[in-house]
Amino acid sequence: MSDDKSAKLIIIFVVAVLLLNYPIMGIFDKRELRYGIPMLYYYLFVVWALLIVLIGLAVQNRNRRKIG
Amino acid sequence: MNPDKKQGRILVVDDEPSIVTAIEFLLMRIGCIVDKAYNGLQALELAVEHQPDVVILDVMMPGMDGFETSTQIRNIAALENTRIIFLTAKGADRDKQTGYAKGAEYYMVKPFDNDELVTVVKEILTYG
Amino acid sequence: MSLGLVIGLALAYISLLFFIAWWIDKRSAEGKKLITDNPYVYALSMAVYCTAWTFFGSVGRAATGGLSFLAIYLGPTLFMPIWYMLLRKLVLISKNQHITSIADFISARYGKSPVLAVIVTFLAVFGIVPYISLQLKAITFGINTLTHFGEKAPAISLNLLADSGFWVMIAMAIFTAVFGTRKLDPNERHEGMVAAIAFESIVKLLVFLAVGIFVTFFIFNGPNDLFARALTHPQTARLLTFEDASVAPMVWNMLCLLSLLAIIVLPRQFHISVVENTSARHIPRAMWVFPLYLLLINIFVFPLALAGKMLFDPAVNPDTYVLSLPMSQGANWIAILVFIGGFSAATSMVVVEATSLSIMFSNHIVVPLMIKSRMWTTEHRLVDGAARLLDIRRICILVVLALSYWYGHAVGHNLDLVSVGLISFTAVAQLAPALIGGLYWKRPTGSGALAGLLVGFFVWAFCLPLPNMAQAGILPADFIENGLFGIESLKPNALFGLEGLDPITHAAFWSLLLNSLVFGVMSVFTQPSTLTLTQADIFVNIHKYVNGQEAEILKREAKVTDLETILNRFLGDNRTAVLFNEYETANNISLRDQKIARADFVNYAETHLAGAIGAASARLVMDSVVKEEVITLNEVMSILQQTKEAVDHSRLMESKNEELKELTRRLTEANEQLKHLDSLKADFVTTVTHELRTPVTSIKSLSRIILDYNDELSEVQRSEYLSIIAAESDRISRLINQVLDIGKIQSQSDSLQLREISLADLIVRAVSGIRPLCQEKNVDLALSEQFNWYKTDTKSTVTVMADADKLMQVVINLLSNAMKFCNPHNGRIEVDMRVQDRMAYVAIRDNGEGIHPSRQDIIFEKFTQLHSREQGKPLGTGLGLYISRLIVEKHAGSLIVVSEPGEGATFEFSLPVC
Repeated sequence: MSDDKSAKLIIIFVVAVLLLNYPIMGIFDKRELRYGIPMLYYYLFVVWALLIVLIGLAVQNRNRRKIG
Repeated sequence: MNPDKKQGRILVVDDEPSIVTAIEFLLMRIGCIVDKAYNGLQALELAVEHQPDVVILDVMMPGMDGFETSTQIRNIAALENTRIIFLTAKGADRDKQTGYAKGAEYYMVKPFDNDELVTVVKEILTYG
Repeated sequence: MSLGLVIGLALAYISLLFFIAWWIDKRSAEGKKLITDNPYVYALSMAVYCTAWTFFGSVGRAATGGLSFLAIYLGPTLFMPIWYMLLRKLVLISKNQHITSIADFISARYGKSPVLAVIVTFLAVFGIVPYISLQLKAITFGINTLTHFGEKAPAISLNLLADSGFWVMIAMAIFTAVFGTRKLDPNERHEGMVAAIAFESIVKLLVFLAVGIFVTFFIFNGPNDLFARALTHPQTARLLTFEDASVAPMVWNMLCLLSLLAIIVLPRQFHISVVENTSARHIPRAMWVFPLYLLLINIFVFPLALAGKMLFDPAVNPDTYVLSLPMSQGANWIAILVFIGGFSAATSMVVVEATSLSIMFSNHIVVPLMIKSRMWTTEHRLVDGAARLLDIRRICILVVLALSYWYGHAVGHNLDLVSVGLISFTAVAQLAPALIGGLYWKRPTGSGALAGLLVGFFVWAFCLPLPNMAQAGILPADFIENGLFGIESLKPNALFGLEGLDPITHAAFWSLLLNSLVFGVMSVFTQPSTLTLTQADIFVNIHKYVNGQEAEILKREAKVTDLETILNRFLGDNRTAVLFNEYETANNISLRDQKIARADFVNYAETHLAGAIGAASARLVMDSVVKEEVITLNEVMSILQQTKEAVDHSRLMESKNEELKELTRRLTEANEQLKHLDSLKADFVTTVTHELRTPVTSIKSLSRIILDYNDELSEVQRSEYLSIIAAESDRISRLINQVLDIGKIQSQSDSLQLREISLADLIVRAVSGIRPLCQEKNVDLALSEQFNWYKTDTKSTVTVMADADKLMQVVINLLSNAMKFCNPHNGRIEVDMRVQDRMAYVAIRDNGEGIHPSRQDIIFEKFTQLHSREQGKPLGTGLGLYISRLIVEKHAGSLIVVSEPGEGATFEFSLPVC
């Protein structure tokens, strides 16, 4: 595994830990609706989806050569 | 004193030097004094000279065999406290009976177990 | 809804799984491309993480703890980037080492330690059995909700046969036993089972989405409507934030930590993601598909919980919401789907978990016991080892499931779904320090791992299951209030005075902290064993090994036949033949032509064996046939230096043992042959065995001395004893060869290869063969004048009908006897030949002590030896002259001795001239 890829992955992990923790999570811990959806619920799922996209981008080799 | 150590004088008789070597080591490490003989005659000489506590005796030896040697030892008054262990490849029941009839304390068949031999010697030294 | 319908559906669903698994296995057996060799199937099978707990319990937890349930699924997602690196390593190592379970993995890392394997296995069983029982319970509970909707749930039936949970357990046991142990695969892969699991993952996801959409869009008017009403409803408003639901940051973080550890160390996750992995190439895609799956299956959990809270009486158990919501609207078919989904979640978990536990249990507990009790060695001819191993696995599966069923009835019925799951998570999380620490750090030792595991396990047991048991009335509850032994700081819910945490967070904190601390400290202060060092190097630097550099550290050798025997015993004949073929094709060699297998084949055999019985057991078995040679790896060499002496010594002993074993084998063979030779008298057999006993006695006694009292021996003694052992071993093999010779000569009279040969020629050849030995001993070896004469004058060449090889044996034997007994100071041997009355006479004369007339007949008897006064007993078998005379007599000749004491001895044999 390239060092480049490891670095990306570690950064994603650190960012994820920060986003899914206090105090940042506290900002969204309010009894309000955002776009008709509870704010915390909304926030958690958006971060979650974002994380999945980031991980996908980091681990999949996009410029690999097609074989056959 | 180490309870595992047993002072005692043992005469080992076997025409196979390698077996004598092994037994010598086993007995010396528990503190015994060991004399070695490679045939019956030599055994008698040493027995008379040192009056060992125990004689470990092979049976099939050239010249005077172990049973004969045992009979001779039993005939010597000075050796009446000497105990005899047969250590032999002859494992038949009839041989064992002969062995005990010749005045043996114990009859062991080759190949023997080191620990068993040592235990038997210790027992004899402790309880006579 | 009728019970019959529900049970029928469940059975139909299980049959569908049977069909899928059977079909995939069939395809795999036909060699078609595997459906499981696919990243999506791999990711879907990982979703075995979502159990009945996810299905019913998450909604239940959300209804009381708000969004905190998400930690169980966000934890793994957040961990994905790190897991990606970790998992690749785990998969590479496991393929390299043929790892079959997490217990196997940890044991293999720490010097293939059997003790560690046992401890990990027990820990896994303790941790997981309640978790399995939870799944069984969830199914029963689903059935009861469906059949008794709106009524009071029936009491748990005491009649075993009337309890639907019992039958569910039996059906699952059968499925697992069939597809989790279909064959003994060295990689422990079960394509059919994995395919069924992936299928179940699809089912549970679709069903959950369906019920979510039904509730959100059909009972309510979309999410906005649902959430808007939840915001104002008194029962649900507080669930919308952590603060109001009183979820402490510490709890959130601990749940994330526990679940991210669980994704690595839960036996079923390890099994699916590491053991069943078909290719490391699938990992990248699984890294985003699997969290995506988790996201999707959780998206409706919160709305469902809110809906249930708003629509139902607070007395209704929130764990039933998923089922009750559609039923309350009369949508029974959706409820049935939900039941199938939950059933699906439960079965997939139970099947994989039971398979994994049974592999551990049989490999690390049952098989080692059998090896120790020598059951394999005594019965291997009668029993097919492979089939037997599979039977053991099946029994283990049944035991695990029966245990879970029993636990559910005896202990588990007063705990809710989520807390049992979390107690299990905390238990298996104890494996993480040893596992992860050993992957990146070479220093940890087996003792460190063991100590850490034990401490973690005890703290866990003290803080979680014991208080639960006490509350259930099984143990005295006194220690919960007052601390263990009345010590204030030993309260299971407030250990060392740490108060204010919920029991799970509290237990996880202390157990993981103490576990890691003890693991680290013990590892620094203890010495790793040699094997631990080499394994540590492989595990930490796996990429180096996978790339083929320094693929072997210990160079080991073993006899090909021995390896074959062992593989046959444990893998069965067919599998062994396939393995041999594969290896031969891959390396383009023929193993049967090689007597000794090289190190890479030994490793090949051991890793495949490890696939069947685990690394530690495989090691144990291989040790019996393998001898270790030189150790090449430089890094290891430097550390090895300290223990080198011991290693050298044991290697020497090993090779001696090896020789002994071989001798014993040949001894038995010879004995067998003797028994079957009718022409041999019984007393001869007795004599032979007696003669064999003597050297065996010294070998046995001395080798035991070296083994037992190595420390007390001086270098001189040790080498003296070893050389006696070597000499006596030689003696046995000589003896055996000669006994076999006698057998041949006596039984097959026509086996002589008679040809016309020149006697002089033969003697000259024999003499020149032995001459170097004589020179070494300073013995003068003289041929008489006649030999030149016979050679040059063709007319007078002495020709005899004889078997050249046998006759050569006689001459050499007589010459070496002469050499042994001639005068030790100025030895001289003369060889003479003459012809008289159509008989040729060959005389061999030495100048030794001579033989007393009374002994001259005896020496030709079996097993008689002369003792020289000075040298004691000569090294010989006492059979040489006997055989020589036998051979000469077969040639219609005779062998005699003429001697006077003090005058030397002359052995003369005669043969008829052609």
